Amino acid sequence: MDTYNPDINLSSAVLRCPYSQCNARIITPKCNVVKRIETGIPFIKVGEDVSTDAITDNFIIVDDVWDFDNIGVSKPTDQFVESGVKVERLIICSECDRGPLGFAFFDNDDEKDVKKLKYAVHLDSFVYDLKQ
Amino acid sequence: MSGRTSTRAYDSVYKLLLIGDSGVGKSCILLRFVEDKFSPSFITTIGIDFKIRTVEVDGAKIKLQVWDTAGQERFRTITTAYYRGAAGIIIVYDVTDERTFENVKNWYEAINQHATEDAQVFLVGNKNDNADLRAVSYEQGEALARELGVPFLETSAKTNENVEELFIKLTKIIHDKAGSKANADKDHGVKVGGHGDKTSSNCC
Repeated sequence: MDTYNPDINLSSAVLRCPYSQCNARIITPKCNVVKRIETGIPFIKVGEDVSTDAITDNFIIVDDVWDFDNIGVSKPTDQFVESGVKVERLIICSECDRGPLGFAFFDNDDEKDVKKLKYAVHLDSFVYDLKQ
Repeated sequence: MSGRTSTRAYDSVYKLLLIGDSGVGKSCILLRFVEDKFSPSFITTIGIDFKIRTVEVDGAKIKLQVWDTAGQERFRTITTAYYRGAAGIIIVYDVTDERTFENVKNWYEAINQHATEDAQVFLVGNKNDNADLRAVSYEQGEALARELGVPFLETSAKTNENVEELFIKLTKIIHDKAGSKANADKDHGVKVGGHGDKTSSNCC
């Protein structure tokens, strides 16, 4: 299992939960487009069972929640209003409940339909299974 | 559901609901072992709305979307919208609280009123890890399930006993039913492409 580096071909990797006792399969992304987003959210990092204040900003965007194999989506939160993007919800591993592994947002501020949520997946919060 | 379904590498998707009186442990079935494990306080405070889980039943890769009520049950204001498209509905009561068991029939009636006819109901007695405080016997739960004509399990969300089994059993029943229908209803298990379909790209 590898940690994130920019050379990984994301669309042929399985992103797994970083917790060594879990490693649940979370998603195989459909694309390799990495976006930088500043959020201020203390995402969980590989090799730690606690989240830290150290922030990294690399994400991929997932448009459809059904693309995930396993994911937990929180209720709406307004705790991260100072972010550059309106953080609507946090996402966690659905097997061990660790996280946050990323967040969900709406493209349009007035949107409320949960089906239109988009998901920003925090790349440093996963281990990478490259054997496909 | 969009036209992109043909690119998906799974066989079926099902929406499942957890309902029952407040305090019976529905949220704990969704957010497991909260007290034992690391879970940042802001996540436990915010709560989980739904989870996607992928399970394999009879060789088929099935995605489940499991929803918790957002506390609306306190006010009996669960709307038809919540039930819409549900293939499976889990009625949860607390085996240490007789009142929640007595309300199961009310929940069952609400399902008959709001959910589609072929939604599969499953009865669950939660908190069976607490023998000293038990107020509803296993036999009582079983008898009620028989009366309603639905499957039954006792679980402990605290120790995780039978939680996995609950989801697998319910999924298998739904999947078998969908498979026996010539044309599966779109809301209850649409066939969405086969295995190994991951090569097609659908870049964001």
